[in-house]
Amino acid sequence: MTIRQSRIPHGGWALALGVGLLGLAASATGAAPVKPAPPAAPAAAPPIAPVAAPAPPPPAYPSTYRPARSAPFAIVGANVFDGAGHLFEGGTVLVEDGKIRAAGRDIAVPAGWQVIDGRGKWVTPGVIDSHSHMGVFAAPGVQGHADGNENVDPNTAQVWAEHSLWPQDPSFDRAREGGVTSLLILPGSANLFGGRSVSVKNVPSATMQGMKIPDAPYGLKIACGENPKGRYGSRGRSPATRMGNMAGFRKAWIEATDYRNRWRAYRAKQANGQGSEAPKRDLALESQAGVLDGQIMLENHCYRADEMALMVDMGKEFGYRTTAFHHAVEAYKIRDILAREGICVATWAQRWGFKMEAYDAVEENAALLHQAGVCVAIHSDEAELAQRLNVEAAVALAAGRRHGIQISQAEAVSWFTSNAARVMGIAERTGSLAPGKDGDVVIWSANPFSIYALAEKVFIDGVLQYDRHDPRYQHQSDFERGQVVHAQ
Amino acid sequence: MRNKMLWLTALLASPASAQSVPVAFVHARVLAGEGRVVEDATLVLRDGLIAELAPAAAPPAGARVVDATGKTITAGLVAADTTLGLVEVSSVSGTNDAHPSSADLSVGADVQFALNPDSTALGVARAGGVTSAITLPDGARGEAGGHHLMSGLAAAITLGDGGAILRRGRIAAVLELGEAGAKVGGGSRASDLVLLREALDDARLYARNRRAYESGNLRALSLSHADLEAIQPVLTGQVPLVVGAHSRADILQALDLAGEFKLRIIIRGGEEAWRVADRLARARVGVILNPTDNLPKSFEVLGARSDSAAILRKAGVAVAIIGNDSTHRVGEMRFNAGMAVARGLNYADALDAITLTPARLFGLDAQIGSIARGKQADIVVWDGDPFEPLTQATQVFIRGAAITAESRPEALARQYAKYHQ
Repeated sequence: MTIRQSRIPHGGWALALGVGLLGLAASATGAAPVKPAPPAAPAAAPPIAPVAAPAPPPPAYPSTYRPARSAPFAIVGANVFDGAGHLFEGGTVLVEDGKIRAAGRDIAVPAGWQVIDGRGKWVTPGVIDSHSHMGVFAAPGVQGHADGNENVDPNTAQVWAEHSLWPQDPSFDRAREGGVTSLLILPGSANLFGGRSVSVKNVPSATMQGMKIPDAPYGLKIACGENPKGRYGSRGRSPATRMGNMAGFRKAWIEATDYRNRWRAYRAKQANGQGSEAPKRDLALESQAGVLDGQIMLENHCYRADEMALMVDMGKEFGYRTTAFHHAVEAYKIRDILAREGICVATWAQRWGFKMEAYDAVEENAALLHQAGVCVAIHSDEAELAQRLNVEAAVALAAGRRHGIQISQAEAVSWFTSNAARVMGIAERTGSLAPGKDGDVVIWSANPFSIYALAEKVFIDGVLQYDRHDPRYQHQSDFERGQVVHAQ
Repeated sequence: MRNKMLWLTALLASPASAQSVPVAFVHARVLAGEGRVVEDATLVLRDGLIAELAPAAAPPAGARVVDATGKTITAGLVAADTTLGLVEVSSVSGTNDAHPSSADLSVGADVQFALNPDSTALGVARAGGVTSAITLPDGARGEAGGHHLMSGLAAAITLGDGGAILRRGRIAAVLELGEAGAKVGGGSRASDLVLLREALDDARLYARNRRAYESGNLRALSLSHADLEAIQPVLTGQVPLVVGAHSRADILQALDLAGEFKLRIIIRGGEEAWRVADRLARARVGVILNPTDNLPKSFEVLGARSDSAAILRKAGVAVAIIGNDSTHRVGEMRFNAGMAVARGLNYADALDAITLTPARLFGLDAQIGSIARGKQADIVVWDGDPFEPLTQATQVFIRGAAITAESRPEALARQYAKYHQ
């Protein structure tokens, strides 16, 4: 039970993306690739002078991930959920040059392509976990691996999860066996500002850079509620209360606004040919200013409905958009607000009761939100659950049906694929089987809403990265290699 | 007649009030346990007991007949390793009695006195088909002084909504070995196993010399009086000792300890039990495990794997499968059983792993755990395969009484489903 106790969340997280304006209905039609809307300035926000946005800093710690070249292949005769609301029975998926070329029925397979017999199988886009701490709270969960919470100050917006990520965490391998192809790796929730997230493809790599998704937007993790106030209040520092949390956030946004304005003034002068000394870079303020400028997503760990409503208003006060609320177990209580504001929710179905702010969690959360037009993702926050996000989605779907909420399985697939991609700001490249998207595909042994479904083959960018029946495609992390138990 | 009335009155006052009218399910698919499947079954519940199970039988006169066409009926699920009734909100210490940490008490801590029948977690588990549970102390959290070599005494509870939930107290004692045990046992397995042996030796000495002990003529013992008494049923083999052990080495230490002191043990956790499956089978030691615990979360579970239940069963080891936490996610045990099936466990064994096997491990199988005449009428009606997440428990009966109480989350969801449409 010690081990099970360790599953209590490290804290909380919330996601915010500037893609919320697209309703679920849009993604459900599958009519067009889901394209993130530009983060619009909230109507109620104080006017911000439309000065030229600061040039983003040069890419740092850039991705070195380059998928191997793969021969084109077709999966034929499978039941295909495309992640955009459709089910094609006896469907075909074509993958060429690492990208989806087509998915649907009555699609001809070009001559010379490798054909995978999908009869009796089911296909989905690669599973996406929009809330993970793999690599930053790696297994084994020893002190030497506790790299997810820089919990020495309530504001650590300066830290980046990618600088903690240990690619040898064996959890990545297990998640791949569960069909997970992309993950949002977040810092923990001990602090008001926890730091930057990183989006990775679930590919074996010796370096973080070898997993990092090229050009994926950064997110800034912030946390409401019990975690920050409990962490710092017990140390005799602010925040000790929820009002202290809010004061801490607001103080930081005021400073970030000032920082942003100083850089704008500097750049305006530069543009006008006026010499000017550049302000000194500040990593924390840079991340926060990136949120204010809409360049960095805001991922907000927040459980209670009343607090989420305050956070929405805070976004208006300072002119930023929340991409997603994470955990958000009470989101169902304010689903009208979330739908109106276009904020996604990344949540579970079955986790509740581990602390006061998780007391009102209901299995129906996702279905109620979906019904109201909110973009919902089923996330894990734990490396075990990451392996069965499809099952957690099935529980959420069944819960909705208890209340007469009829959501098709084809729509609910979006909860662990395309909507999760929206939470991460990568919906243009993955999350559905739309032509041109990354060749992230899972072949399941059974309907993924069944407990008996096993991911049999997992392709990432068109490359076979896992095969349940072929040991050559079952990666083992360096940590596990050579351990006596595995030599048996 | 008067006797019968008294008996009925007693039943009505018992934890779950008994049914007044017989209930007969007809046309059900009954998974009775031990692989027994009865199609088109008639299942009769009378006086809180299973009265009859037969294919296509006529329901008895006077019974309330329920058409269960298309439904599957199983015994109520038995959760083997929980803190149900001990915890409401995990982080709220006033509602969390799962971690006794008195400096003066270890195995004597007795959860039967800490049960909260109003815990909302009971209703949530029940909605998932759980009708009975073993509730056990989960060990000290390490902050208090003193040593807590053993965690305390477990209880069996019923999840009936009638009030009292205690079915039987002191049904097992609980002990942690491995990393958790070393932490409370002197900082090392080297001290933990010796301190444990000393404690068990002292308890034996005490049992043989109670009079000398009472008159102060016995050498100093390492346990308190309450602890010395509490451990006696374990030493005599009346109740099992639940041993939290995870690595191969620690499980073998547990087997050695059991052999030395002639203890009946049950392994809890057992992530590496598959490595010593034959030894466990020979010693007739059962394992309580969670197939989703498949990650090397610590150095004592490097061999954790999701198909260990299948390996253990093939070797003949009794396996009970649990849910994904000890209080709030107990009902997920049925999904974990299904996942074990997907990874090689026989379906009938998987169903037994969440019903009959846990009942057997704790000596409750004469009353619960399967659908057999004379057993308590704890049954669940499912609208499909009970392992499937899209399947729901449509009705739960405990001691023949239909559970009507709504769980708190369901009440919240129903309330909010009405608004903001």
